[in-house]
Amino acid sequence: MKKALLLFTLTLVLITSLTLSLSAEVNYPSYTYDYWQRPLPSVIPYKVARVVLGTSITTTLPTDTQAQFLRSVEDLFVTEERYYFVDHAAKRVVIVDKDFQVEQIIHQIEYAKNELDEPLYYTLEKPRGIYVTNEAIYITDENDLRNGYIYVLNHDYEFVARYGRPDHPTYNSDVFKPNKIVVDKAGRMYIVVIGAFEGIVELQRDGQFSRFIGVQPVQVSPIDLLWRQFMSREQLERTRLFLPVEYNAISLDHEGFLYATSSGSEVSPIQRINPKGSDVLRKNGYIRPIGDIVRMPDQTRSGLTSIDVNSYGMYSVIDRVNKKIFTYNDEGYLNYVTGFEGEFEGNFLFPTAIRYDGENLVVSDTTSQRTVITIFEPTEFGSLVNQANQLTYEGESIDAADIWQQVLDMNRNYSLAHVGIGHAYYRDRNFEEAMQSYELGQDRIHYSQAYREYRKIQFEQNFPLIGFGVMAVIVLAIAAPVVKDIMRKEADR
Amino acid sequence: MKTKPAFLTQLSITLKRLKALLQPMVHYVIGFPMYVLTHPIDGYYEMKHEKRGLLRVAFLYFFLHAIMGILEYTYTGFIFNQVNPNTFRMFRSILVSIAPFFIFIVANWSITSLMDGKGKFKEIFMVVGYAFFPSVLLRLLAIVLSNYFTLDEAFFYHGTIVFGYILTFSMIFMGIRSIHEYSVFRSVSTMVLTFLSMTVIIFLGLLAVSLAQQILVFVETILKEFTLRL
Repeated sequence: MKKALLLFTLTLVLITSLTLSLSAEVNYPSYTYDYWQRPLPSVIPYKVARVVLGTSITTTLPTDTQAQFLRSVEDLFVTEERYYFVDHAAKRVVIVDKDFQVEQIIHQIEYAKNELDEPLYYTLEKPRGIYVTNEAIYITDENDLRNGYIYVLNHDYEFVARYGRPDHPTYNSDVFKPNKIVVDKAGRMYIVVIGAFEGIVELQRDGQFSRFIGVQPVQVSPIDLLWRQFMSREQLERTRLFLPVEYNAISLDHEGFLYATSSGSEVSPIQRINPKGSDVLRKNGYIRPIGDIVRMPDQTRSGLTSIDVNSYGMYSVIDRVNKKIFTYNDEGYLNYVTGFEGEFEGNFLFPTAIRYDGENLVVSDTTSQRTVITIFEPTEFGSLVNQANQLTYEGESIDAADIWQQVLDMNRNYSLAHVGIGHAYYRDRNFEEAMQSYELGQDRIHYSQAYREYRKIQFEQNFPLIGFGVMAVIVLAIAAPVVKDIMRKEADR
Repeated sequence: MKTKPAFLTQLSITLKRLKALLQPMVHYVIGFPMYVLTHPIDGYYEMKHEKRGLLRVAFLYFFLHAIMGILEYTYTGFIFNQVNPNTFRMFRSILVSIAPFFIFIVANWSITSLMDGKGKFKEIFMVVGYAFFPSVLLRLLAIVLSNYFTLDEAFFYHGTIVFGYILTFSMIFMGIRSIHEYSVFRSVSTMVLTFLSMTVIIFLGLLAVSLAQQILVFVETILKEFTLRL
């Protein structure tokens, strides 16, 4: 009896300590959606590792003439050694090392010297985006109302090139306001331009305009079309035009596919654009990757405004409306949600940009009052999910299954883990178990595949029985009338 | 002369009795509906004038149609089972499958009695009841098939169900035409009028429900007021 009591107490203590370690102390809830579109509470995936206030990034560099600290962050970039912040309000780019010590501030770019050997400068007016490759730093700047430039600097912060409005017959707008930029391995620049409904602008390595890529389809509902039939010309002129939705952020994965978000689009706010220019984002999850599902009138649709992809196809997007971060894997499953509206650690007021730093997430949050850089690191649960996704992405689904099992031990609601375990069983050709796992994970497509294999095996195993049954039916069908006939003759006799 | 063993004679007698018992049942429940399905004009004529149909069988198929939703929810294979268990309600499922047809019967009866229809309420009910025969049968078949089909064969699963409904609706149309002794054009126009009166019935029903609700709330408030004041 005493032993049992002791055991009971011990388990109780163990359980409480376990639950304590599971609920890392954070100021936000986390959830996933299940197959029936219900939000289910989840274990916290990411916790706050470091919070850096903009006011704490101070500088004494002589080039800093305007503000003494980081006033705002419009865009950010992370490399192995540095963080790059685009300070839109203070018209400059601030480059800090991993301890947030200022290394360089770019406000004026010296591009030449005049006859008197005095330096000539380009000045950043409204910097919006930054991208850093191994060779160069690319800064987009909206210079005045109509025109903007892309500045290319090398890693010694020396001027390399400046590209203005593409001078090309197919670029028919006379406004060029570059917003966000990515540069692929071949040096091609992809620029999200404000007010360009034709798509993302692709520039060649030498700044020549090559094409528009990835046009958002125009969304017209049938009801709108019907109404337009009954409108007078004056009314039609007053209704808004059906324009394609414009992109607002862009990212590049290691395969060279572009990830772009557009907050206006309801159908596909996230696109994965292949070199041909079409959307190839996988949408196999329980819900489409659109952020929050809106089912109640008091809910607001997500406005996705920034995106980054990590090395194994997981991508995180910022929802500026609901102040959250949604993370999806390469198949399009919602993995977890981080963040909440508020002023505490790990909360956002106006999140602007997100970047992966290894497994960590760097998020900037800017209002006119304050600027906060938050670095999130994965909790045990979050890193397990990431690891399992990475293994699945690399095709090691059997190794991933062990990790999915650990994920399930921490969170029974996590349906995606069942699917992952199902993949491992499928690989093992254990189709019956695979079917069970897929059913728990509510994955009908993979269940169907597993069932097809299972059915084939069952059919092959039971073929003698089935064949015998068919034969028996045929024999009976032939024999029955004969027997009946004989019996009738017997009775007549 | 060989003599049969006693138990064999007994068996044959029992079998004969069973056959005598089952044969009319099978005839009424499956045989005649099948005949109506394959020969709608003759079938409904015989149902009306030779009294070959049974009201009980119509009730049976109405009942089967009512519980089909529950059967589908329970026994359809995982791949094709798209019913959300969190929101599934048994009585709602029954109501949703029966109510439109019941309203149709009432509406059709009220329209055709104004338009020289020869059918009685009972006969309209029987037409609709017998018309459920193909859809019930094929939906049952679809439930069985859904457990052995993969997504590749989804077309055949959905096709079975849709085919069942097409047969059901065509049977209803033929039956209505037949029992009211209408021409095709006449029966089409009565169908349109029937659907119009169905919407009127639904509208009145909703009105009555919401009014009753308001009265209930009113009475409730008065009672509450009384209990709180006294």
